[in-house]
Amino acid sequence: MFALFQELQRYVGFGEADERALKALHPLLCDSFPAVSEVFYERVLQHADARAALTRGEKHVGQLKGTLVKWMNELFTGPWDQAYVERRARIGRVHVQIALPQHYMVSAMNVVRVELRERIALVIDERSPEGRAARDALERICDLDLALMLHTYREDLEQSQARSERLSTFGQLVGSIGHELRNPLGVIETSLYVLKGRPSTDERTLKHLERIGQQVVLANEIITQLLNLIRDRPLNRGKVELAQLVAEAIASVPEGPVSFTRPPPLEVTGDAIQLRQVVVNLAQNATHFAGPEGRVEVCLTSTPTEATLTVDDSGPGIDPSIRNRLFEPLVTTRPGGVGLGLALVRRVVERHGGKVAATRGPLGGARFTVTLPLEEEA
Amino acid sequence: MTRRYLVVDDNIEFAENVAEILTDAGAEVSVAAEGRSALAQLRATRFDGIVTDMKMPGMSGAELLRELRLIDPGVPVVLLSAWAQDAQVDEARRLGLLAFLSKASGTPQLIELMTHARRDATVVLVDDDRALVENLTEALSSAGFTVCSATTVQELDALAVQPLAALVDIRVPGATDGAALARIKELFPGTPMLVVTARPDFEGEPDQDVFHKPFDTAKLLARLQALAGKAGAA
Repeated sequence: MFALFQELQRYVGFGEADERALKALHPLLCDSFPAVSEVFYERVLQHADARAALTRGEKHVGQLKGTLVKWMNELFTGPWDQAYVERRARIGRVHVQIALPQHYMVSAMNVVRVELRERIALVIDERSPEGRAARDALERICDLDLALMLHTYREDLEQSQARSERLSTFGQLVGSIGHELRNPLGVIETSLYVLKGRPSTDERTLKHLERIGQQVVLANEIITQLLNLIRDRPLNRGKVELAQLVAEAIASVPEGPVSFTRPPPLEVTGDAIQLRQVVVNLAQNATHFAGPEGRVEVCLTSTPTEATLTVDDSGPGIDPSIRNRLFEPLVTTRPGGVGLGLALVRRVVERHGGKVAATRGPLGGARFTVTLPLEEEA
Repeated sequence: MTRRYLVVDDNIEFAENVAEILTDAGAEVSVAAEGRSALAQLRATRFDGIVTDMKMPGMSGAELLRELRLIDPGVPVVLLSAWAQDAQVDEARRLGLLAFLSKASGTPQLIELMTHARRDATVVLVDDDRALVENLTEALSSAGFTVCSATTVQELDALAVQPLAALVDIRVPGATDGAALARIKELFPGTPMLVVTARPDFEGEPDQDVFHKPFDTAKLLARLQALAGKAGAA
């Protein structure tokens, strides 16, 4: 991505002179950034589609305006480095996520460009050499930013299309592979049963028979998980006491110390077995990434309308390369992982009317937050 | 007396393995690789239990079950499948199963089921409460009973065998109270009726045993075992 940025810089002729010009402009313009931001959102929100997409997200427009001011500060002060490129790329990605069409980025950039151009004209004489340099620098950096956003937009869109194709064939594939694998597993399992019934005192024989048995169970579990993922098992709804469910689920995760302060009983309506699986999967991931020396903290809180479960670990945090696809099937960074745990988590949580999100956590690693509605019956 | 079993699977290695294990347990076991030859063997031999795969070329496990109920209505059948979502499983449940098991999920359980399987011990189970049906099916299976389960009155028409007893919820959706009981009486007069109900005031007819929800499953099983004992002695 940075290589692309450097190539684009050469292409539009963005150089040190432009960087100097932008930096010189910053103190003259920065007081007017909030006003530019106001104009920008006033214009953008006139479009019904854009308004719907922007206000659907969690962020309020007030927050978005602040982000735009920050964006303008960066535009003029740089540094125009790798981190800069990544921040710009994220804007394109967000557009794909909130399903805002590509051309909005072009017209939105134009609004900013025109506004800034007019404000520059107010502080510098446009016909002076400094004025021309300032104007050129603005055009170039706006071109560069737009190119970066459009590039990531296209890249992400292509990826998400490829993904949805992958998912539809995934379902069929999983169904038949699951079937076909259970047959040989059934043979292995029954053969093993016969062998275990034959008297043997050879320690190594016994050890390896035991090992085969464990691996058959493991393989069988993976198949079950895969099949569960593609089938719509109806939720077996009932009253579930979450505090106890979480405590039991955590206790069943063998690795590492997980700390959980048990809150007072908290009742939700849901499928106890599937909800338990959610907690187990999150806790297993957390203990894995925290490692034997690390820490995992699980916390369950509630408001009158929802229950919130957070799982924090002190691990390395979420790999940026899979951040956007974290909850999709077959995506994993765990050695030996199949990439089904989080996909199942999201599926179960969403079917309970809840949400799951991954962010950076207070222990330095990842934080997974699950929220479940409490007033199901109302 | 030596028990005789039939194992049906196109995966012949699996069939042979199961046969070997049951033989080790003291039984006489035949193997069939597909439905037709299984049916031929069923015509010639009276088995104490059948294990069949669901997915087979030609005749599926569910189709085999439908055909074999015409030849031997009272034989206990365990259906194996790689995956519980097979659309045909529900049909098979209506036709009567000792159990439905996932392949590769536990040989000890399969052996246990086969060893305790009772012939001519079909219990009709009519209830729309899925969780209760699952729990009762499991309890009945491990006590050796074959379960025909239906969630509606119409599904009872699949019933191909004189049941040992009927275990019926007085209220099932889409029908008047007691409609399921009446239908069973019509199809198989004289079937002992065990009525389960969530209505605490329900008393039932003199010829009915009433079990109020939540009821003691052990007591229910004891009642069925007594009926099975009587049928065996007769």
